Amino acid sequence: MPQQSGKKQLSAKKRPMFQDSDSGSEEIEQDMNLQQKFKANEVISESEDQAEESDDLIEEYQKMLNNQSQSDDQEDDEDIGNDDSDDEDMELEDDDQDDESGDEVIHQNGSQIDPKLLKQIIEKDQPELNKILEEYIQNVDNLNNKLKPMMQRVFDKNSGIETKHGMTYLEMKYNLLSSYCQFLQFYMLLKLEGHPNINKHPVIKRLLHIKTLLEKLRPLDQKLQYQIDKSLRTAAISEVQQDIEIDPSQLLENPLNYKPNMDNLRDPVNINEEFEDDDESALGKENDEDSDEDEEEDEGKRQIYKASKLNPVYYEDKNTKKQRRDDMLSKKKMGKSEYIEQLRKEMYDEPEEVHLGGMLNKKTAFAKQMQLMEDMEQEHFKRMSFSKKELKNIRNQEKQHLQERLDQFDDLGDIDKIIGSKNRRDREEMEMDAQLENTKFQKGLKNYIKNNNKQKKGGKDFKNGNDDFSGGYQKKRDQKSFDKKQQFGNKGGNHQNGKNKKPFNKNRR
Amino acid sequence: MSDQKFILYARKFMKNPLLGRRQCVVELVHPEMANVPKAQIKTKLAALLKSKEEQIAIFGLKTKFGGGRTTGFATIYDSVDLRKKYDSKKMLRRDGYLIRAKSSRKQRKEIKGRVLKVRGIAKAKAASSGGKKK
Repeated sequence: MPQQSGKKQLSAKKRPMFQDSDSGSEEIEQDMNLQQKFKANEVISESEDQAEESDDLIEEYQKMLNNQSQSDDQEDDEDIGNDDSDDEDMELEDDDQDDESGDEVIHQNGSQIDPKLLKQIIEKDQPELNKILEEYIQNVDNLNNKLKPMMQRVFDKNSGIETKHGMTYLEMKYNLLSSYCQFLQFYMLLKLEGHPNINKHPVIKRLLHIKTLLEKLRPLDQKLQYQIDKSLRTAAISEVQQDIEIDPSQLLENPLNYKPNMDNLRDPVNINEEFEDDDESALGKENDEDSDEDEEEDEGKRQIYKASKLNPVYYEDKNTKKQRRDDMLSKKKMGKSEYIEQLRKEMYDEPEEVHLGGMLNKKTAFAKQMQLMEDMEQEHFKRMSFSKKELKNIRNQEKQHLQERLDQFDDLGDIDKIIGSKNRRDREEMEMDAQLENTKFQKGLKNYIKNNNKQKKGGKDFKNGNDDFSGGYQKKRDQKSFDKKQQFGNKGGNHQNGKNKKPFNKNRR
Repeated sequence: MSDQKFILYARKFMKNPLLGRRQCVVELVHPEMANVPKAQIKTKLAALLKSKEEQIAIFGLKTKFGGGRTTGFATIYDSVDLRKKYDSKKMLRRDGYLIRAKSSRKQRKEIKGRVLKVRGIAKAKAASSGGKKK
């Protein structure tokens, strides 16, 4: 322990009035005296005690603290030669009194003087003292009131908290703080004893070291605060509810018992990559690292949340999309057809627009195009030239647009699709065919009736004695031959016989 | 031909001092005529814009489909000299201010052959049809 060594050195160099507690009975007696004095005069809290006791020490203390806060190694060389020699035991946390009369007076009357006055006096003489004392007080508070009970609770076997990982931090902090207090005490002792060349003493380095460590640990402390509180709470719960079998270790392990932590939502891999990407985008991608970046990005992308394929989704083939698009287009065309416009006129009460010619209707695409062309020509003050084909095309379009189209009902093909009927042509043909058939049938009927009226059916004509069961057919045949016989005589037949020929008809058709 | 009337509008009127002229779009309405002769257009325009007929150039006349309406362009110069200076050669030729050298094709080709054979200043001599040399 450095303090002990320091003390031994002191004892070698100087002979203070009060030596180490190890040395002898004299010291003990003197200590007892001191203690008695101490107790007699004060029954107050620590802060006031310390403020009153160590008046002369404060200066350098404060300076030390200032320098510590500024993290400077250099310190003031003000060595106030305090002949007052005080003895500080490691166990005693309170500083011992001064032997000087003046201080004694102050000390004795410390309780009577206002603390405010005291503070002002101290600040004038040795402003360092206040700061050092504050520092000391804080740390001692921490030690006593916070860390100690924690340590006790933690290391208590009944608590059941595992002390593998997290509690080493506690231990470390505890040790740090206690050593810091010890060093502070020793420093105060040195000051009181009037040690020359305190600046070269290694204590100060130690103090600085520990102070910096503590400051570095402060943010860590803040971050860990929640965890520590949580663990304490679980310990408290375990203590309180010993009847109920709650395992505090389980409480700790179950992550649901903790409050939400936003930092944990991010993937550490992604974070690194994000930062990388940002940097790269700012600087511009380098060709060498492109492949690596892509790989990393891919890996990072793989970690992005993807919806699980649990629910069935309607599958759409590519063709159906085309069909849909075609349907859309056909619908649009349908909307423009004359047929539907007529319908629209009937249905709605819009005012009628009568166009003298297609060209005057400025809403058509062709008219718009022509208008555009005209504007451009007039703007540039020259005419556009077209090839023969283009001109022809334009003229044709003009003609088409000028005529009022009566045969605009041709665009019913689109409606047919929607109605679902057959092709219009087919329908027409069918109608025509039907008509034709009808006429044919009508004709046939007529003829049949005629014939039947002429020749009564044979089977039924029993009365007349015509036993013709062929239905008049035989008679017909017979009659034919009979007629022919009449014409041509007995030779008969189809071919022409005799002189009774039919005259040759040139204009046979 | 009876004196058929037509209406003339001068639209998009613009001054062009760089070329010493005024230019506009000419719209004609001629229900009785098929086309309006340019001379008549010029007279009307001159009366409208208080200038002379020689200073006006009209071009780009197009009749709308169906007849009755024509649109064209007109440039009205401040003086004949300016016109001769700035107007396009096509328009000048139309109005007779520029005469095109009428040489036959054969002659031109002969001249060209002669010019090609010679180098330098002698080309000008050959171009002026100095006759056949030996």
